Amino acid sequence: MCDLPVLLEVDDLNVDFELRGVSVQAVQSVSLKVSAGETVGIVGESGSGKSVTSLAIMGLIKEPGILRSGSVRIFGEDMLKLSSRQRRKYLGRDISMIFQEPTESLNPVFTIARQIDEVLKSHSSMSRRQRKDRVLELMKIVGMPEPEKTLRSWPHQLSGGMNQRVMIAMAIACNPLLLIADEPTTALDVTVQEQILHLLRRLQQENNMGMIFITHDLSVVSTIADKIIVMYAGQVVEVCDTDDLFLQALHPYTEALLKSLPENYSAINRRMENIKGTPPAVGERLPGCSFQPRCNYARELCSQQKPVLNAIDKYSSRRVRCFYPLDNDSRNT
Amino acid sequence: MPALLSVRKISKSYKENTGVFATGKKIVLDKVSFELESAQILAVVGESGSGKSTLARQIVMLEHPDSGEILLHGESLQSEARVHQKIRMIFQNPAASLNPHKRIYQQLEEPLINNTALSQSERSSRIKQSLERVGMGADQVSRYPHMFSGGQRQRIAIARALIVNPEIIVADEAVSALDVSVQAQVLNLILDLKDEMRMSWLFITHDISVVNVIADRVMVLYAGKVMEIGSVKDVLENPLHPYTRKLLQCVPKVGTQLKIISTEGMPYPSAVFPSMGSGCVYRNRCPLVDKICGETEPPMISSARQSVACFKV
Repeated sequence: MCDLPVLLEVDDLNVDFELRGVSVQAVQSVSLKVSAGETVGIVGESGSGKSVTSLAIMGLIKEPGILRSGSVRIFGEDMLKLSSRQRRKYLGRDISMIFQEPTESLNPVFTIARQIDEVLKSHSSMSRRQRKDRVLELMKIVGMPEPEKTLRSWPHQLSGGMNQRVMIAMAIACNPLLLIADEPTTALDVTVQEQILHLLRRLQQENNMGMIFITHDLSVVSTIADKIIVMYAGQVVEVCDTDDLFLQALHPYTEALLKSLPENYSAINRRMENIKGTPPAVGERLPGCSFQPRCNYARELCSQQKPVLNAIDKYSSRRVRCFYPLDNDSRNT
Repeated sequence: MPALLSVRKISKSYKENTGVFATGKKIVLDKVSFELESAQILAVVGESGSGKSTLARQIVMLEHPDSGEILLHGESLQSEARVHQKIRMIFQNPAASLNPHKRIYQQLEEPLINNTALSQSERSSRIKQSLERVGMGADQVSRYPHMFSGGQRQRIAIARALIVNPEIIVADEAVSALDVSVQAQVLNLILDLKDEMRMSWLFITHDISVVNVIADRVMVLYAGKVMEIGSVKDVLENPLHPYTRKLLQCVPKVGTQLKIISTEGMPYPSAVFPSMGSGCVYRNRCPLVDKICGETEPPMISSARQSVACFKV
């Protein structure tokens, strides 16, 4: 993966929300890199800052959100320094996004054909005829049954899975180099989810597209991502290759997340392990590690100092924000 | 000894606008039968549009089936008041099912006022008990729903269902909206309640990995019909119906890489089940489809272990 061009480089991103005069850190110094043809999965519970990160990349942070610092470079160009007019040239063409609720993200009063056409109209110099052909072609790419008929339909006439395909068709209309998918399958049935995952994977391989796949579902992300970023309370707590994560979680939170998956339990072994307590409340700031109150391995140091995201000698590609990562060798020292 | 709850051939259809002035009938449940024993958890699985939630609404008597009957302890469900005391329901989104304007105390007291003749002090102690049972402090009764996290709200919704000591709780996607760590807490709570209070659950979900953890038996619905029913062990380890097999295949598992296959030519799983005329409802998606599948509807074939509606087993 190293020799492929880096599409997106996010460096030290900080996003705050101002609520009644109190500033809440929603995203704290998040950094990530996506290369062409690579899928990076971002995993975390609600409130962990995964969606805010993606909105910041798209430059969609609005009041009361404030982008405190950081840079988002796409092909070397810092998006955050561009005016919104300049940024719009990239959005939808080079980077595009799919959201969780397809039915809510589509405009209910326009036909499917018109909504897809709109993307092409604003980002390409195609003629009306060319656009019409491209729209039909897109419907076929996303595997829509009866494409001509569907194009004349309105969003409410289609099921969730079909609408998600329309969203994907819009997102890939201009062959984007980077696709951000925010919980694209969470609202869908497993059978539809499987097809959407296959579709995304296929499109990605054909166009060598980079992808950020945001989800709270570890089992879904494990099937599609090359690299996984685990977020907790606005911070990245672990970064690693997908295969490594499931062999040995290094952060106690990652381990706890894996243990909460129902698929590890059966009728014989029913009581599931769960993470005690709740994530820190909005605006709550702890002097030490933000996971410390819920951590089974916490020691004195954890409540006093904030851990940083450190590389671990043994695993070159992994980084973890923990004083005592869950690795036998380093724990004993 | 009759089963705690026995549902016999219930059907339900809704009116549907098929044209500007024309209306048609959309069959949502078609002769669904099953039994639920006491201290048992029956999971109902199926895709959206398969009739899972419609089934729940019939059982708690929010609606009445077109035909068929629902028996509680062998007696027909007649009076709504009695049903509301014996069968309670929990919904998917606790933020929507709790009233944002009322304190927790009022929301828990309401079912007691409506269904029991308890005095005010008895009600108050029952509310405390019920909150403690779901692992919440009784000192939180004067708060409003927005002051709790998602997991806590679902616990409150469970407490509200428990408070009248029902025999059956119908949970419609009760853990689907929760984060995995919170989901694990709520699932453990449901298992504890089943054991301690010998309570039965009709647990509606689309998540098969959850079924494996929580349920004793599982029923697979497709287009309003029962495809397969049996113990969780039998159905999940040895699925007989092609649809059950398809559902199990689609469940993503940690550590399995997605195979790259073309989606072209794949029958599209539609939430809108077409009216199929006679024959098996699953036949246009079924890999094993045969001539007979289009001619007659497959009967329920029961063995000692599980029942399945398919010609090809």
